[in-house]
Amino acid sequence: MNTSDRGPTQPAHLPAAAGHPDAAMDPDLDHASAHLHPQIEPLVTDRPYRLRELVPVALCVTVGLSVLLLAQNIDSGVAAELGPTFWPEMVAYGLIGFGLLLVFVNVLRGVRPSDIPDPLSGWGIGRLAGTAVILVGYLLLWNVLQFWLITFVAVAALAALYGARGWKPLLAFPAVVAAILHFLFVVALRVPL
Amino acid sequence: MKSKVLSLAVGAASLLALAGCASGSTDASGEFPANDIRLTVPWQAGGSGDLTARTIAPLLEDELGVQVIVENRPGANGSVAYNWLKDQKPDGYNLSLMGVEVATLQFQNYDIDPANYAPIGQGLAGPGAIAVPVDSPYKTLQDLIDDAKANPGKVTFSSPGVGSVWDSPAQGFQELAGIELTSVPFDGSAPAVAAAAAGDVDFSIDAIGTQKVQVDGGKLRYLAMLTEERDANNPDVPTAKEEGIDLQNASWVGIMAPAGTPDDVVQKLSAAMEAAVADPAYQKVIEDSNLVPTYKDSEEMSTFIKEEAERYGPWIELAQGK
Amino acid sequence: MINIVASPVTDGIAAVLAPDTLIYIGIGILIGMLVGAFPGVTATMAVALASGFTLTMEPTQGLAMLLTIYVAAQFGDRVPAILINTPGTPASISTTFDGYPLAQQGKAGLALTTSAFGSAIGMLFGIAILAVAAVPLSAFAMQFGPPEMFALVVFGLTMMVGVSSGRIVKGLAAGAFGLFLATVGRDPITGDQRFTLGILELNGGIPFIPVIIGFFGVAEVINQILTHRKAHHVPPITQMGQWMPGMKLMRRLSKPMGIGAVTGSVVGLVPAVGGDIAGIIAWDNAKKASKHKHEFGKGSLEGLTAGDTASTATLGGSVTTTMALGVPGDSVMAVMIGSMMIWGIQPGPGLFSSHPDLIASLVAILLIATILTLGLSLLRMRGVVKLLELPNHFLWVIILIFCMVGTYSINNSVFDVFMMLIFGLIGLFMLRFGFPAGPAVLGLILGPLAESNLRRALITDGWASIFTSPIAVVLLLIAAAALILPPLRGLVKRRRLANEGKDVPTLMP
Repeated sequence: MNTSDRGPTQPAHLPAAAGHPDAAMDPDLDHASAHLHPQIEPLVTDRPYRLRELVPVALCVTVGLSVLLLAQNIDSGVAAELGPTFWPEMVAYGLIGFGLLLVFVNVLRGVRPSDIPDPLSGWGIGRLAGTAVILVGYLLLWNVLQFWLITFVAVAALAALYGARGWKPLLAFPAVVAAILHFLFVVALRVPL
Repeated sequence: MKSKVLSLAVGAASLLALAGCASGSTDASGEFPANDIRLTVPWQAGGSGDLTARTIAPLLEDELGVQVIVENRPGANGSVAYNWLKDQKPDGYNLSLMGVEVATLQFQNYDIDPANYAPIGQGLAGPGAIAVPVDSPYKTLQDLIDDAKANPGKVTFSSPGVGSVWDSPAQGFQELAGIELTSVPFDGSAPAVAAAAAGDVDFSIDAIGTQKVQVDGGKLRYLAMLTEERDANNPDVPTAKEEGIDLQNASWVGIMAPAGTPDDVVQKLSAAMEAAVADPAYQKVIEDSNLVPTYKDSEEMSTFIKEEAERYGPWIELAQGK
Repeated sequence: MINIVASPVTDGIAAVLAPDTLIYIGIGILIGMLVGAFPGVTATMAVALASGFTLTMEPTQGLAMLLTIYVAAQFGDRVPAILINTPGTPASISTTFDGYPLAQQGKAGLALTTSAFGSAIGMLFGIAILAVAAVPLSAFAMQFGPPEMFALVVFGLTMMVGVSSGRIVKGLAAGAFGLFLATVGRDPITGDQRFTLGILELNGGIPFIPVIIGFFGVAEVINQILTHRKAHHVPPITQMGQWMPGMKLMRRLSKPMGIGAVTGSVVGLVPAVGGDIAGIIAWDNAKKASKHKHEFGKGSLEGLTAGDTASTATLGGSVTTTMALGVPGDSVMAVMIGSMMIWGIQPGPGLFSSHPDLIASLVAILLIATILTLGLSLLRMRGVVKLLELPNHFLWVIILIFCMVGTYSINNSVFDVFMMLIFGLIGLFMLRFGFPAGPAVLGLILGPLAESNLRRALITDGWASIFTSPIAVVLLLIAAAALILPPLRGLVKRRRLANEGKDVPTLMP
């Protein structure tokens, strides 16, 4: 997750067309070039990336175990061949099994370069927290204040948070969004907002 | 910029409307109703319950002289809407449709108590029937009972789900006939009836109107009606009572308000509903959906819901094996 | 003889060509396209709302309006799937697999047009089936009892491998998670509470549309916000590239379109299974049949057309099952049955003999709606794509706010919106740790069908009911083959190529 320890050999996240904007224009050309590059990619074996793969392993196993645990609480008086717990338990064992399999596939062997996400940015984490606060606040104010009003405020706040400045993004844009949503949902679809 | 001005104008207008609402509902001396009424539908849009609400709403508007706004709040067998209604102000401006679940959900670990609601009235009923595939060996209800006695647990029926309005009377049928049947629950009435039509199960117990499609299409045959009297549209089919099984059941839809709604408000709504149910336009829509327009007033409804709870409680517990 | 047959047909068509019916078709197209383009606002909802005021119309006009909304929504929902990775309705889940990568590569224009062509061709194919074989095919659909449904759904679940985009173990884990999510709520057979944690709303299960909006749309936006760097601001996509697919490309796309059309028609016939699943199955089928497998999921026009053709081709099939069996082919049809009964049209086995002109009317309505919608989609594409030229911060705000309001409007439920946001975060986790969302969604859709039909089958006749049904056995064998054959073939191929030795993966094909 840490961005600073990214090794020099580490390839960036590769959207398929990143390297060849011209080839990307023509689908047929694209295929021709794709044939020249067979699918076998070298795996990234840097320790931090492999250790990072322990997170999904832990999560799969945890979710699986919690499902098994919670399934104990399902009580049913009906005797049937496969009761209410059969299916969730089967799924939970599957989840644990696949989680453990991930140890062999990703932790011990390595990660495909395209599976390594873009690094987080400090800017981004702050903005995400701000977004969460605004959206939850917005949601809680529905049915309390006028819908168009809070939409206007929420849109303006989000736009400001993402770095927009000036009257166009902070006044005109929220007004347009609020108006569209108000007419479509409140007036036309009669959604109680 | 044009749309901004527009939205400001709309905003101003809705603020005024809001102010109007606020002053209206605090005005206790005013005659009910002074504001728009919200009629919640606890089911998805498009079903027969939703249709009832959308048909009756304009008729209630005519009677009451205010707007009646229909709103869907589906989820968790209707309990989401019932739970929501319980927390609304008991002033008659928040109403909800209800089905038999209001009386029965309490037996299935839902926190829904019929005492939290003030019934306004009933709008329709969907009396039930037992139907078998056309090529079934059962010619009479007695054939079915005999077979089930000879092969306990081997005779299967399709139901719209455990604890539902049609699964429970099947438990009653087993008790009354002293037989053991196997319930195959489906996800709603349409697939349950279709499964019987396709011969996947031995019989269907559901509303006469729901089975009618398959009966008219030559796939199902009515065996017995779960009604007091023979059904006027199917005079040749005996009632279960005639065959010695004194079992009647019907699905129904009504309207209710939160408990604590003033009596005069309930009476006023109840009277408006009576007039709406009697309206030919309403009658036609309901009859075309193969249901029976039926009215019960607030008081009759209270007793009725209590009776339904007493009837269904043991059935549901039986089905749950408790 | 011919006269007797011909007259109901011409009557049916004439009823549709009346001027006022055509006006309703026009209104229906506008509503449908608008509705489809909003994530969360489904065709089901639009049809349900419209049915409120079509009740007073003549049956033909009302049917025209409702069916047209249904058709047009199928075109409209591709737009957000391609442009912002959010399926407008569940039917376009498979559109996001390749459509969004294509847009990221600057080929949004081409993706939108080919998608519209694919959708139109799928629709026409479905209509043709409805016109020619409605009655015999409905008899086939009737064969699908619980054992057969279970087998079909198991086959559908094998698609998890295909939509894992190469990360098979993570894909299967995501699929298992999706299957688990599907068990939350009330047990389908016994009605017992499962994993509801005392939350009332969860008794009805995890709402499906909020989950897909969260997984696809919100997760992607949050990821963009998280990884955005102020310093080197990436310019938004402005190049739309080529618009119309050339002849050569169309010829190459004819194969995935054919696969999509056939898959969609068959899936559409089965009650309660709709365009969402058909699209995914066809996408996977087309991938198996394609010469360019590795492109699938990274921006393949073949994958895009296969999925889109299939999900619209289900329409013919689901109209057939609905009309001929009285069992709703999908949720939109469930709503339409209610309206039709009011008009005195009783969908069911007797329908086509009591209303012989109805098939002709239905076919005419669907044909006109498809052709008009295709024309309109091609015309308005350029305007729609302008959306992508907006700076990032506008786009993020629009997606987040529209997804929230759209989700709320499904059930008027704030709970659903919270679920959408929570699943947006779960989707973000999955995105960053390489879990594909496709299998999870597949598990969530198919899980309840698999479990409940298996248990229903066991109640009626035990395990014998599955192994004595020829359809079920064949479907299960196909499912097993779909799982076993590709890795085997891969293994053989790798053995042949294996000379660089030690890092040959054996677990992953």
